[in-house]
Amino acid sequence: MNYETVIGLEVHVELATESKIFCSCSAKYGAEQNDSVCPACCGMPGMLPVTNKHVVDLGIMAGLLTNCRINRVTTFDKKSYYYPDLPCSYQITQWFSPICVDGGVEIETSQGKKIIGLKQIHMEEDAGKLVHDDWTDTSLVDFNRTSVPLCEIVSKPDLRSVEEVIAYLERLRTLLRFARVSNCRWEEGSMRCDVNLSIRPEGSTELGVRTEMKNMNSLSAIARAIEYEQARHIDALERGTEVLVQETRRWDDVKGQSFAMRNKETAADYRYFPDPNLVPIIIDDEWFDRVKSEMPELPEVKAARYVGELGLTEKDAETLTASRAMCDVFEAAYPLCGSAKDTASWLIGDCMGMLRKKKLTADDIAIDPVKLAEIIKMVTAGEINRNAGRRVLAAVMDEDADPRAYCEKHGLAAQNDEGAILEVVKKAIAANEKSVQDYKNGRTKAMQAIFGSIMKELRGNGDPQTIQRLLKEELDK
Amino acid sequence: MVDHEELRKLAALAKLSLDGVDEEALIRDISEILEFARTVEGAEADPADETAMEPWPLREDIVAPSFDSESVLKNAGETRDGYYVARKMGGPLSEQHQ
Amino acid sequence: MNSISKTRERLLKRELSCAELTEMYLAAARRENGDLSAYTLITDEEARRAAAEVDARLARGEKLPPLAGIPFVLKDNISTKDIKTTCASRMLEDYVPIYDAFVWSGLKEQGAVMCGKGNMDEFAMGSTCETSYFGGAKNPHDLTRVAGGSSGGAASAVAGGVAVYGIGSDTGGSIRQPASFCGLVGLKPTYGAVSRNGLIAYASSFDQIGPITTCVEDAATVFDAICRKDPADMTSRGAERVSGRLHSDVRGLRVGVAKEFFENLPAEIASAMERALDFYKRAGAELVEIAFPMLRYCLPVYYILACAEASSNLGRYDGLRYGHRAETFDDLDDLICRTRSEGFGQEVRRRIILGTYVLSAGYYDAYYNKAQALRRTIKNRFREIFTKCDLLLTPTVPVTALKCGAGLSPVETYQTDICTVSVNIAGLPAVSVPCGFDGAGLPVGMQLIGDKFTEARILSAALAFESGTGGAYLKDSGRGVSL
Repeated sequence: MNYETVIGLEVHVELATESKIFCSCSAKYGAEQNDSVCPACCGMPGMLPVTNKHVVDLGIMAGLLTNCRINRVTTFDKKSYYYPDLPCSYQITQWFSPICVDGGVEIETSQGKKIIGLKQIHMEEDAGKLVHDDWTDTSLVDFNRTSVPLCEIVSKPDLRSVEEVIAYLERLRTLLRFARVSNCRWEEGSMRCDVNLSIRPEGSTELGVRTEMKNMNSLSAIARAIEYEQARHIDALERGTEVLVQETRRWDDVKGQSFAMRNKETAADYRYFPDPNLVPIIIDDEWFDRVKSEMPELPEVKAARYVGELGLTEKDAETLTASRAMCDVFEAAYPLCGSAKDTASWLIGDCMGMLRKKKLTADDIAIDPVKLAEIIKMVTAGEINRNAGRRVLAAVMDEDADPRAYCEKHGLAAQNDEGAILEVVKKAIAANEKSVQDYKNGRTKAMQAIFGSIMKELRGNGDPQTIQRLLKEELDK
Repeated sequence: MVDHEELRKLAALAKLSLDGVDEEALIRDISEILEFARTVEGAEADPADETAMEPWPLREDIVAPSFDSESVLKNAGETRDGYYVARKMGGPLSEQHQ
Repeated sequence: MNSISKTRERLLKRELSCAELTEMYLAAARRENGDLSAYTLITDEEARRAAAEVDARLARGEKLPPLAGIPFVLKDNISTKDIKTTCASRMLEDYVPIYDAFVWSGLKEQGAVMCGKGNMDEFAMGSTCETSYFGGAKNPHDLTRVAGGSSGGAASAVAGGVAVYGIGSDTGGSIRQPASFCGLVGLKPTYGAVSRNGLIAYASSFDQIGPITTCVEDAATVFDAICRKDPADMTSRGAERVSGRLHSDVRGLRVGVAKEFFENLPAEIASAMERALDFYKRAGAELVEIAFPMLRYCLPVYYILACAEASSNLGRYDGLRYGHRAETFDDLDDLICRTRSEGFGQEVRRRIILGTYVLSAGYYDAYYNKAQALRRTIKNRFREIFTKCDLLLTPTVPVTALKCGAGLSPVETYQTDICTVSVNIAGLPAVSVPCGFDGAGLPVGMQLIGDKFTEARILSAALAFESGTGGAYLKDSGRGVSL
């Protein structure tokens, strides 16, 4: 019997806002425990939530990116349950009218293109973090993460394979990062995913028993979890190894297994009702249009434009458009220096090289596009040579130095006067008799040593090709 | 209207213990109140009207200083190294929501 | 009993210093509290600090805001930083907030002198103050009777002369009813006029903070001091000040009379109401007959929605971060259940269970959803009513102050809120004004209900009655401070 795997995903992303969703504490990751809290996000008596406007902006944006219909009247509702990481004993989420519904995300796999339907996107607040100490059976609670804004993106059960799941998640990640909705970092927990999976005989339209899996902390863990669970379901159906029940299971990546979570005696009754402290959010045309106008050009559209209009190679266009930050610098810099190709080359080659050395990624690029353009112009005009250009670039990237000032201070002006170079060449030949002899005896590589000392004398400012030419001419005389 | 099982379920949801509680009296009271509340069944309600809602200004995304963790933790029963402590997690609450 | 203006006059004329005035009130509060149980806490240190500052400002010749130097009582569900805020519950018996409520912060800035925190029904749930963990506040006119609830302590303190004015909260009548029982003026502002930041929540869409005073002018003065919009409360809009706009001319005022509020009234209350209506007619107002058949659904709607919201608002009390904490427990779940059962009194537990019931799957539609729909309907009916009249006149409570320990069943107690809850359902302003006495000399109150943000209109109508009847319905309890 052939089986089809039916998968739906619930993706949570932390929204890239400065402050939390319902209070003004910082939403940034990494503070010391309970340092980023206030009476509101700690659930103290008498405190009231106040909605962060930018959260709604990003919710609308997430919906636009995924072709959803935006609900113009959207409310926040309380979801009640008890857990130590929930200070008010309820989570504020959206149950009755989520901000976005009925969208779709196009993915491409080895099987071709496909649209994965989105059921809805809703905004909600995150809970705190528990650090569990098994030895004393105690949990330490940190509320820094409480009330950090989240978007939950719920797909329809349209996914059919690990490949599709990975493609979908990567596409979501690209879109959301590109639009600065979330930085989607798995390792920081700003992107999380729960998997709903069921199996059915191929050709059947009925859905089988569904299990939900949590606690996969990376794309590869998700892949492993799906493979495992799929097999477990099939085993159960074919060999009767166990009875499948609708339940939530916890994925243990170390053991490579999923485990049923204890305590399902009663299905939770969350008693959803609208939060009376929060007025319904009404998204009028002005608001909607403003967010729409801030929608970024999507990466694939940009890439096509870079290739078609700016003459970049497909490869370069793809590399640049993998990072919104890179694109922003590129688009601001190339008009200033007049060459898209040069700008791309500097960014992809030199800038990214420098970032990689510091173990940073393209998204970490922080360079003033005006200054980058300046460097490129100076090199193109021959005012400094490429090596010098790289030195200036490093200074600009590290300390935001001023290119011209830096060049002056460090004497990086290119030496273009052939006469002057010739002088230095002749001096170097005179000073390096042994190397000259070696060269004349057939060891062409000996020229390098002389070349090196010429460069040194010129403090790196000679044009290497000119030096090479003049040196060879002199040596061959 | 409310029986013992229902009461126990409600108490569990609301995290209230029924130890030492006169369950009969509580059931009687709750049932009486529900009887009284049930009269809403017979009433006719106006239809909903979304146009009656007005847009309301939301908060700008600006960070304000947080409270220092010492004062925040001041009222807690048990803390350790700047964390609140939740002891003896094993039991009905554990692993319920991760 | 002293009014704010009389007290202020004495201060400004330097007839006595603020420190002296404050000592008089603190001493009286201590003396009377054994009988009245008006205060859960007398805040000597804070009162003296504020008084000293007022005296310093007076010495510098500074112009002082209207409430500066005036001793008052703050209901104990309003957060006061570094000062215990208990909600008259074992759950918060030793709880000390780390922040100030918006209203308290504003009053402090204006130089208000807080003598202490006012006793109340536990978590504001009750109509007699008897659900207080510390024992209920007594009615200064008759110590065998309740001061009312849930702002019983504030009313008792003001009527008992141990505070010049009080700040209470009203969710279903908790300012107006104690005011009525104690012969005082009690104003529940329009929902959203006063910030709820720092008010320990009972039912979020009903709660509102307001004044309890000895006269209408004082209610206006206090309202003006607290009606600012607060960005920390999304439901707050603030309101325009009223003091400059009060008058006593009721000619042409359309006073609505809805017979549903007058059904089955005891004779003494019925006749006090008739006299009041007669007063307005003779003063030139027009009495307009109004129908309000929805009144019969107001109590169930209120209790369904308020208990639902309460069950959620009180979920946070679990012993982990503040408040009472059970000493022995098997596991975390047990800790939470024991903490809550030990910390909460019977009425609170009842309402939490009720609220949980009406929100639970299977009952949500029939109860909560239906009640919401009816709430909307009631608001619509009021909107129509206020096209036909300028305000509604009703009794505040269909009874006078109940005997302590009267032992009414929950539903019987709830029934006494019949005249007040509709106001909170619709978020309207309403003021209770003394308008008579029963055979035992106990105060009777009448209620004036206005359309949203018409505090100036209802207070003016109240002022007209108060001055027009020459203060006949003010009754000094003979206790406390008299200047």
